[in-house]
Amino acid sequence: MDRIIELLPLLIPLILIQIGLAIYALILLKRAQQVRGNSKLLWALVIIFVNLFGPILFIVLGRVDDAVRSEDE
Amino acid sequence: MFNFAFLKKEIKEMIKTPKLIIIGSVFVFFAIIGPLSAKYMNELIAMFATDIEISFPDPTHIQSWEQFYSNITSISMIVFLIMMTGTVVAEKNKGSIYLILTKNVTRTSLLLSKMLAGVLLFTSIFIISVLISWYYTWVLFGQVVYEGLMLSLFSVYMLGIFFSMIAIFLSVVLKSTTHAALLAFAIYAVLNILTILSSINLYNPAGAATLVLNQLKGVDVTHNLIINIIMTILISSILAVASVRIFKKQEL
Repeated sequence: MDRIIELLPLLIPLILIQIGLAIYALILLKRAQQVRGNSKLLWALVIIFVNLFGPILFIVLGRVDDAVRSEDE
Repeated sequence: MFNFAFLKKEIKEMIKTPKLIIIGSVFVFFAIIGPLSAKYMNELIAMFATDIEISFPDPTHIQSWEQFYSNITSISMIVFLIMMTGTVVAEKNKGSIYLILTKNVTRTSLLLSKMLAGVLLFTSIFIISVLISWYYTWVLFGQVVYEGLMLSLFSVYMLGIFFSMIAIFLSVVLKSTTHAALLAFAIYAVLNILTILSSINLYNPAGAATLVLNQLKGVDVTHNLIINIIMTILISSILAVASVRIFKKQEL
């Protein structure tokens, strides 16, 4: 436990990247009118539970909504 | 003439899109995880493999850079390559490229701006990753520099520039982002498989990944690295010129 506390300042950026990316992907998921596979719930689970690559998978492959894409591309 | 206003627009768009967030997150994440795993991986293995007596040598800053090079030339580079393949083809498919080309921007200028924006993106993210890895290595190991560090970093940087040129080239010649991404990945895979043939690592841009790891093991590969860098610059330039030429003559 002491070791983890000692390492915490070095680990915090890693945790922040993962949480930040997941929140960003969840915002895009909420805004998307349509997603690949038609299941927002499934994508939400992928974003939350697949570390780092879950949000990336959704952002790259999950969005099929042209309106949202053209807005942010 | 080169259009700086368009380059500015490209950079602004890059900041607005998920591209920068994804590439930035992956590069920073693996720049942090490299030194940490070098330092604590042995302890973690020993903690879980309680049945077997394993003795590891104490990790040093060399292992930290080894992790850094392995991650940046694999996962980080694949993500960068795939994210960059949409550069031109996505705009062609959306039709927005026609609007830009009617606004007094030449095709050469448009493509050069996109290339330069890609190079600037990779340069800034690469520098940030190196600085992060440098800091973590210093905090965890108390030592950072080894002989040949700068040359190794430069060769890995040139590998990134080479892959951005591959991405733009494929984005110009192919008609779908998915095809461009798949072919980019296939090229990455083939070039990496070819690194098994150590005799051609000099001429294979992806050979830089193997050469920098050899340098870490104490083998003097300075001469080979220099030739590899020259070859990478040469191939990248050929790809850049070919992309511009094809794009100029292409029917949109």
